[in-house]
Amino acid sequence: MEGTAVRALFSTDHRAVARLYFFLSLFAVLMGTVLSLLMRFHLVSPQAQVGWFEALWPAGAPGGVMAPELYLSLMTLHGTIMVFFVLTLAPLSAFGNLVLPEQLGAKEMAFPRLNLLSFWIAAASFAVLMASFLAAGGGPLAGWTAYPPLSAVGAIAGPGEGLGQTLWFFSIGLFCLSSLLTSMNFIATVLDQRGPGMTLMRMPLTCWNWFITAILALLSFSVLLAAAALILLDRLGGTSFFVPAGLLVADETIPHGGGSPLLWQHLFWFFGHPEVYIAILPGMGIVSHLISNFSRKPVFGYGAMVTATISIAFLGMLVWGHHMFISGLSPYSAIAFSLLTMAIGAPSAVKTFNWIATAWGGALRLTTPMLFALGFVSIFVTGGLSGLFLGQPQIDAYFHDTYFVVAHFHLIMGIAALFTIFGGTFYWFPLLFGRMMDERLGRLHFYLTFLGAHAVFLPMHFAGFAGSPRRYPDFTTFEFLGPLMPLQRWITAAAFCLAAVQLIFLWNLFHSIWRGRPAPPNPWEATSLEWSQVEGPVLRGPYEYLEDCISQNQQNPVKG
Amino acid sequence: MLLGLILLLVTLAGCLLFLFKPAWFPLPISAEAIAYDHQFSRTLWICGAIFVAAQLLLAWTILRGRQRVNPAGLAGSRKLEALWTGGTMAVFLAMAVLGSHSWAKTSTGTAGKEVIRVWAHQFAWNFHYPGPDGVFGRTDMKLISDASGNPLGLDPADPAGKDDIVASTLRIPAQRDVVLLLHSRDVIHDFFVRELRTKQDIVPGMEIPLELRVDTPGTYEIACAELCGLGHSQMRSVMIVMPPEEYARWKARQ
Amino acid sequence: MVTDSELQETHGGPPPPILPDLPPGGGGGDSGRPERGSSRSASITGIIVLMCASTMTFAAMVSAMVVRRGLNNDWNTLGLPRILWWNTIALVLSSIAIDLGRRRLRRGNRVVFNWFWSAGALLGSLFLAGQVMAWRELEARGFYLVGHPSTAFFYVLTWAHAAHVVGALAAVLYVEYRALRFQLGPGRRTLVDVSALFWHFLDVLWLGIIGLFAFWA
Repeated sequence: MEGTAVRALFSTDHRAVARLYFFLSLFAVLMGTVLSLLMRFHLVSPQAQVGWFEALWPAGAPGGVMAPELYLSLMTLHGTIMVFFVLTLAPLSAFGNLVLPEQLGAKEMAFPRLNLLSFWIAAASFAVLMASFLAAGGGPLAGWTAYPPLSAVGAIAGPGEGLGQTLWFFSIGLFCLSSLLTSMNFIATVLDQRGPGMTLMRMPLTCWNWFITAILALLSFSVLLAAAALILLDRLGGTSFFVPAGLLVADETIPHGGGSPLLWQHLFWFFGHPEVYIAILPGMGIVSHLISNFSRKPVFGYGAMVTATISIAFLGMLVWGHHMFISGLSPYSAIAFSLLTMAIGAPSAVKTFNWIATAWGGALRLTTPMLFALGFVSIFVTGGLSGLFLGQPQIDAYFHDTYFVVAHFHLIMGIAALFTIFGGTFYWFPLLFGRMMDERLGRLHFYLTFLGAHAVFLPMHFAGFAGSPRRYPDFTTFEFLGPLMPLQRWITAAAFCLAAVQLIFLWNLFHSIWRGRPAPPNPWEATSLEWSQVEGPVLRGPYEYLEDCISQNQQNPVKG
Repeated sequence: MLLGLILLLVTLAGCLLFLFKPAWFPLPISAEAIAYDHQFSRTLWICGAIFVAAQLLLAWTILRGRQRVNPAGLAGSRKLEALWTGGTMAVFLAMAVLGSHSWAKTSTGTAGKEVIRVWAHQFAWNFHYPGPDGVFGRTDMKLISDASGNPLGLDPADPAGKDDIVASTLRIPAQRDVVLLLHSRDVIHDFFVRELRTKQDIVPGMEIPLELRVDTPGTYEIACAELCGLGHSQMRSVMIVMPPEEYARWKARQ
Repeated sequence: MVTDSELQETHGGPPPPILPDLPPGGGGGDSGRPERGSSRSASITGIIVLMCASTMTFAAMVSAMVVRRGLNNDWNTLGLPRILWWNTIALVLSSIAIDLGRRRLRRGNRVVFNWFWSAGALLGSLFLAGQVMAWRELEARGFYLVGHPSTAFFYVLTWAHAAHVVGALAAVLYVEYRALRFQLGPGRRTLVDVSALFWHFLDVLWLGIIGLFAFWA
C-alpha cells in the first residue's frame, strides 16, 4: 500500500503526473472558492462577528470581525491561487499531460522525469504561497498584480507587506520555473515525439493549442521570473529597481531611490496579458475538440482555427499596455495598444463563428461535456464583448479598477476557462480514473452553474457602471456605494448559490472515482488517438467522423 | 434543447437589464463626461447587437440540431472565414478609432489655468494651492509632519509658501480650466471622481497632470482607485465645484 | 595525437568497447536505458527552447536597464575591472575547447575528446573564479549592489549569467565524469552535444553582456 502511494506521487508516467496536477488544481480551486465566499460575505456584512474567523486568524479578525488587511490578503490569495494554480495548471498541465502524448501517437512526454520535477516545483510553490498567507505579520495584500512601491518597500507599507509578501514573490518565482519546464516539455513533445503519420496539420486542435500556449508560457513566464528576481532584490538586497527616490512611507523615509514603479507594471503585464491566453487557449482547443466530436462533424475551418490561435498568441504579446491606460503612459502609446487590443477581437470572433459553424447542422449529442463546450461559447461571447469596452482607453478610464473589470475577467477568464475544465474533466474522466461520471448529475450541474454564473456576474457589471471600485474591503465610507448594497447583497447570495451547486460536481466526481460506471474503451466515439484501440501509423486528420467511429490510425473498413 | 431555450432566456434577461444602464451612471458634469456617455452608448449598442446575434445564432444552432450524421459535413470555407475576419476587424477597429477621438488630447500647458497640486498618501488626500502670488512654496519630504499640521512639508523659510493654501478637500471653480498636478508621497494611488468619468493613477516619483473643466457646481466624492494598502477603501475626500465668483471669495478668505 | 591504441599501450588493458548507436526515434533515448531518457532530437529541441527562455529573462532585465537609463540623467558609467576581459578570453577558449572535443567524439576519438573537454571544464571554472574576483574588485572600489542602479544592473546580469554557468558547468562535469569512464561515444553523444550547445549559448550571452557594459552602459 505504501508502495502504491509512493508510485502515485513519484511516477513519471504522464497520466500519473496529470492526476497529480488535477488534484492540486482541485484543491486549489476549492480553496480559492472558499476565499471568495469569505470575501463576498464580508462585503455585505462587514461588522459581522464570526467566532471561527478569530480562531483561524487571531490577528486578522480581532473579536471575529474581519479586518481590512485580512480581506485584502484573502483577495490576493484568491487571485493568485485561481490564476496560477487553477487556470494555468488545470487546462495546460493537467489535461495536457493527460492526453497530449497519446493524441500525438507518442508513448510519453519528451522528458518524463523533468515533467515530474516540474509538478513538484509547482507543489512547492503552492506550499510557499500557503506559508505566505500564514506568515507572521499577515498575508500579502498587494493583489495578484503586486504593484510596487506597496509591494517593494517592506513591512513599513502595512500589514502583510513583510515576510508574507516576500514569500509570495518566492512562490511566484518557483511557479515560473515550473511553468518553464512544463512549456519546454510540451514544445519538445509536439515537435519531436509525434508518432508516424502524425503531421502537424493532422494534430487535434487540442494539441495545437497546448503547443501555442506552451510557447506563450515560455516567453512570458521567463519575463515574470526576471521581474520577481528584481523585486526580491529590492525587498531583500536593498536595490531600487522599482522604488523611486524620496518616498515617505508611514512617516519614515525610504532610503533607496532612483527606480520606477511603472517598470514593474511593464514587466508584469508583459507576462500578465499573455497569462490570460495561457489560461484560455487550451480551453479553446478542448472546446473545438468537443464540439466537433459531439456534432459528428469536422471542425469548421481547421486551418483558420490554427491561424486564429497563433494570431491571438502573437497579438496577445503586444497588448500589455492596455492594463496601463491610466498608469501615466503617453496617450499616444495608449492608442497603439488600444488598436492592437481591438484587433485581437477579430481572431476571437473567427473562433466563435467557427465553433457555431461546426455545430451548425450537426447531429448534436448534448452530453455533459458538449453542454459545457457550448456554454463556453456563450460565455466567451458575453465576457469577450465587455472587453471591447475596456479596450478603448477613454471608456477604460472610468471602468478601470471597478467591478466592471471584475465582471469582465471573471466571465472571460474564470467562468469560461472553468467551463472548459469541467468539460475536459467529464470527457477525459475515463482516462483519469477508468470510469464514467454520472450524466444526469452532470447536466444538472451544468444548467445550474450556467444560470448561477450569469446571476453573479451580469449584475456585477452594473456596480461597475456606478463606478464601484474593486479591491475595497468595505463599502461603508463612500456615500455613492450605499445605494449599491442591495446589488452587492444579490451578488453575494448568488455567489453562495453558485458555490453550493458545485457540491453536485464534487459528489459526482468523488462518487464516480470509486463507484462510477466502468468506462468502455471509446465512450464518446472519438477519433483521436487517446481512445484508439489499435497501433499503427496515423492515416487521416482528427475530425473525420465516419458512419462507424474509427480512429485516426485505423483502416476504413468500408473503403477497405 | 434545454440549453437553446436557456440561451434565449439569458439573452432576453441580459438585454432587459442592460437597458436600465442610465440608472446606474452618476450624472456627467463635464463635456468630456458627456462625450464619454455617448461613446459608451455607441459601444453598448454595437456590442449589444453582436451579443444578441451571436447568442441567437448559437441557440438556433442547438435547437435545429439533431440531424443525421453527415460525414461529408462542410469542413470550412475560405470565403466565410475571410468575410467574418474582415467584418469583425473593421467593426472593432472603427470602434477603437471612434473612441480614441476624445482620448488623444495633448497637454496644453498650465498658462492661464487654475493649477492645484494634489498630494496623496496612505490614506488621505491633501490639496495645495499656490495662493495669490501664483507660486507654489518649496516642499520637502523631510519637513512633512502630519501631527504638526504640515502634511506637505512646506518650507517655512520660503517666502513663496507664506500665502499657500493647504486643504483636505478639493475646491475648484466651475467653467474654468483646471490642472491638477498629481503627486504621491508613498505608494501608487489613483484620483477618481465618478462624475468626471475618468481616473488617473498617481505614481510616486512622477508628476502627472490631469486637466479638467467642470460645468456643474456641486460636491462630488474623490475615491482612491488603485490598491494602496489596508485603508484603501477609506481614502475619501470631496471635490467641491463652486461658481467662479464664490470660488474667488473662498480663496480670498484663506 | 593520442589514439585509443596508443592509450592501450601506455596504460595497459584495452579501453572499454565503444557502445553501439541506439535506434533513432521517439521514446527510447540514448541513455542506454530505453524506458528512460529522451530522443536525441527532443533533447536538442528542449535545450533550444530553454535557451529561448533564458534569452527572454535576460532581455527583460536589459530592457529594464534601458528604460531605467532613459528615465533620468543620473547614469554612472561603470569602470569595468580589467579581469573581466581575461574572463572573457577564458570563456571563449573554453567554448572552443568544448567544441573541438565534441567534434572529436563524433569521429570516435574518445581520448582526445576527454582532453579537450577537461580543458573546457577547467577554463569554465576559471571564468567563474575570475567573476568572483571581479565582483570583489568592484566592492573594494565601493560599487555595491545597493547603490546606483547602473551598478545594481551589472551585478544582477552577471549574477544571473553566473548562475547559468554554474548549472551548465554541472552538466559539463557530469559529461566529464562519464567521459572518463569511456561511457560516451559517437552513438552516445546527445548529452555532450546538448551541454556544448548550452555552453556556447552562455558564451554568446556573456559577450552580449560585457559588450553592453563596455560600450553602452
